[in-house]
Amino acid sequence: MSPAAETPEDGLPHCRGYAPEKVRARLEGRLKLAGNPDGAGARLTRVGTESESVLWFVLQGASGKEAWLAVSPVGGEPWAFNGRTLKISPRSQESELSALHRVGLERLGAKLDGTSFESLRRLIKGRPAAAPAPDAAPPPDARTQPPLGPHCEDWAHPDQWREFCCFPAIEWCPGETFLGSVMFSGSACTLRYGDLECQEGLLYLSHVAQSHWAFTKDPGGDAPAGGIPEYLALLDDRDVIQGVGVRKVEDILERIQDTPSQSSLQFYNCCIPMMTGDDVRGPLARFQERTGRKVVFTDMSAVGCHQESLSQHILRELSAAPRPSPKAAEGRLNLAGFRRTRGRDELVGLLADVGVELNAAILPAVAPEDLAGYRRAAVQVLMPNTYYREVYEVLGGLALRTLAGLSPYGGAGAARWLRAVGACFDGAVAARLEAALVRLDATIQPEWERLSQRAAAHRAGFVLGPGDATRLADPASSAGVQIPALLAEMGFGIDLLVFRERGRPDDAGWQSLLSGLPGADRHRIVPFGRREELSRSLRAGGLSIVYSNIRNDRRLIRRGLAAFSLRDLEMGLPGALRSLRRLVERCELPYFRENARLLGGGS
Amino acid sequence: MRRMERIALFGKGGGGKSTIASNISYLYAKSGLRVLHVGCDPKRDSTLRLLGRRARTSIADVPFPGDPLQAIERSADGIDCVETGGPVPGIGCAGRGIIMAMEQFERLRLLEQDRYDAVVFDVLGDLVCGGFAAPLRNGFVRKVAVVLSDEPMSLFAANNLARMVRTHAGGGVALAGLIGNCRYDADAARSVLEGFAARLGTELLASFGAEPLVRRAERACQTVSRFAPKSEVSGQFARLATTLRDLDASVLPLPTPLDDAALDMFLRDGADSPAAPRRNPTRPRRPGK
Repeated sequence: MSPAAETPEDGLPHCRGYAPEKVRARLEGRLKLAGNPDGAGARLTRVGTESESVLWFVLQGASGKEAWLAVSPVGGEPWAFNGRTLKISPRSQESELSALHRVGLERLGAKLDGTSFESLRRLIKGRPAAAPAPDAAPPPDARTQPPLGPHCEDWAHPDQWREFCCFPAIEWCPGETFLGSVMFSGSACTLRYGDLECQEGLLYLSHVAQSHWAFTKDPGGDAPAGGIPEYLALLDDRDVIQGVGVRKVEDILERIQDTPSQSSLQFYNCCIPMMTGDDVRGPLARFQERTGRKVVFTDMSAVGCHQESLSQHILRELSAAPRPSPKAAEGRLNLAGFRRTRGRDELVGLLADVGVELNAAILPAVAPEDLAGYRRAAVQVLMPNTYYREVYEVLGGLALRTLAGLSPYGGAGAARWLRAVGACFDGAVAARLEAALVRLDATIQPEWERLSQRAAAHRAGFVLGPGDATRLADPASSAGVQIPALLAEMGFGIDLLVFRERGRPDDAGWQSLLSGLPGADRHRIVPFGRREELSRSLRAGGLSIVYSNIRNDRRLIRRGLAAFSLRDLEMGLPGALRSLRRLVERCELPYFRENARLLGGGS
Repeated sequence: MRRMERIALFGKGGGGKSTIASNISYLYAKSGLRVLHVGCDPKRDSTLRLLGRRARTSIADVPFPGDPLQAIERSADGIDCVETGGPVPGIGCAGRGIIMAMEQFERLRLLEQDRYDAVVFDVLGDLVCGGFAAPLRNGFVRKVAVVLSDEPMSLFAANNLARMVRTHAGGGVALAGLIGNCRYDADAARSVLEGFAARLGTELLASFGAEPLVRRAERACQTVSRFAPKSEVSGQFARLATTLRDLDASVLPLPTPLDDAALDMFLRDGADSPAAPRRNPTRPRRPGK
């Protein structure tokens, strides 16, 4: 069968294509928006028109969120900027905008203020169609533009055949990932108020993606065994019509009142009570007053916006926490951004053996008691993470010695991280830690070398689109892990299958991703421009395993390839060994190769 | 099999919709039609005059997963009466209640299967959201009559209702006309309403004045057509019912609601205000349903 006869790539829910940077140079030049309007990360990435009445702009922040600004006529007035945002993506309200977005929007607004709508429209639509220079970038690819304007979120995007990392899709589900929302652990409980379909029935990203980020319902993740109690006040049709759903909330609150072990309540309601005007604020305020327990809104309540961002919440709690004596903080360590896994527990255990005690670990989940005692530590270690920037700014304001920029992934990375942590304490700790590392290394090294030799027989692939290389190269954008470097350390050969748009210059990011990796001669860049070319590379490129954030990715399975993701990579030295063993065994497993036709369907 | 009459009465609250709708339902039943009378108001008072008492329950009150048909009560005159129900004031979503009732009608195929010859919807007056226009979707209603007086807010509401009909005209809904119900100076009001009807591209189907007999019938929880069948006002209701039934929705013109400026002018100057140029009255094609 010829490659062209390949069946369409279906069955890829939530794999949303995203537009690459398609800035209209003329608009940028006129508005002086080139680069960062706020000088700190937010940038204008797209402009467009919707019918003849709305112009829209997309500001992309470094956090991965986008703010959509729509400019529309004010009723009866001349067409002019009215400073109104019609939509903030993803599904967020203005109050959720980061400071960067707000600043960017305000500056953009200031630039547009007084500009007539018509002149803006002409500016955007009336760009003269000059003949492109031979080396010029091609015209915007219609496939990568949002097809139906700013009010359309599109799934099954035409580009999804080459989307394997799906970073934007993952980041655009903040409720399901750690990127933006408060998630409690410890002595807390969650109360959700909404309809069953919204709360539980929908196919959430965490059910389809095997991303490291999608873990909130993962029993192996941050939540303690069994998770924190989660209650659902089920809103049905009659509750909506008769406005009596709040009674269910009140009923549950009365019952929660009798469970003294839960010191905090995280409240979430879906959009329906917001639209019907249910008064959930009253019962929750009374509950707070009656019980003295904290109530944290992690979504909009019915009347007014009560959303508290993660950074706001942490700032509030830390401000209220008592300041301990320096003596009480000696030899104690805080971790921020270290997802609770077996690897993290081993790191903490190792540090405890040399005299460093874990005081508190926050993020992605936050236990109320950890925040209350967070200041009772001498050192805090922050996992590199772009998405926690605002929280880290809050933590940076504390009078704690801070270690940032290192992550304990891979053999060398874990050792480097441990030594850096040890250096934050007294010399005796550092000496004990060095001795422990030597012992640990001696136990791990023989098997690591055997596994590395087996790994050398395999090649790991990454299918990358515009922007993916930057994210993969930056540990702060991928949960602290520089994934290609880690795989190279393990001994794998690496193939970067990179999408190259016709006529576009090569992305320097591809080369920088591979430069400096061990075994440089074993790694290569394989460009592709069409689906058939990618298909050929996946089938016959000698790959054993390919990175994908989509669970049971049929594009790989049907070609006999195994998949891996961030989720397979563990922190710490023993964690690195387990990760290597896991990947090698997956490469050697004949299951996918032998059953590709049965498992993947299609050709 | 005769064509089923699907009529809805809209209008500002307190304008006499329920009184008129009840009389129409009664007169249709008396003429031998099998009638379903649907009250779309959380107050549940539309069927009061037909049943002689408050409806016992409503569709919204039937516990899930109960049978919504339990909410239908048959009056002494053989009229099936049902209230969609809804919340007490200040909470909930009455519009959603009407939508759910329509969904139940559809699920039960209540308006199919040759069960009724006429269905009369009495819908809460001020159009506040799409839920109150739910009967205009999916072919539940073909003819809309707007009950109004010559008071400014009533005219304002009627103009909005004409816009609503225009919005839903593509589904086969037509504005049958206006029904005046004025308490004071009925003759003067009539000329205002006729002028207003002309501007909306429709007709004044009937005009009622203050009628003590109607009030007496209401106190007796009856329709005046039943309470005083030989009275002049009952004759008026009978003529209205016949007119409504005889109108062919497929040939009624599209309403031409006034824009804000023209409406303001009409409210200020009444029938003396200059008429706005008529828009294209062509009806959109009806769907095949």
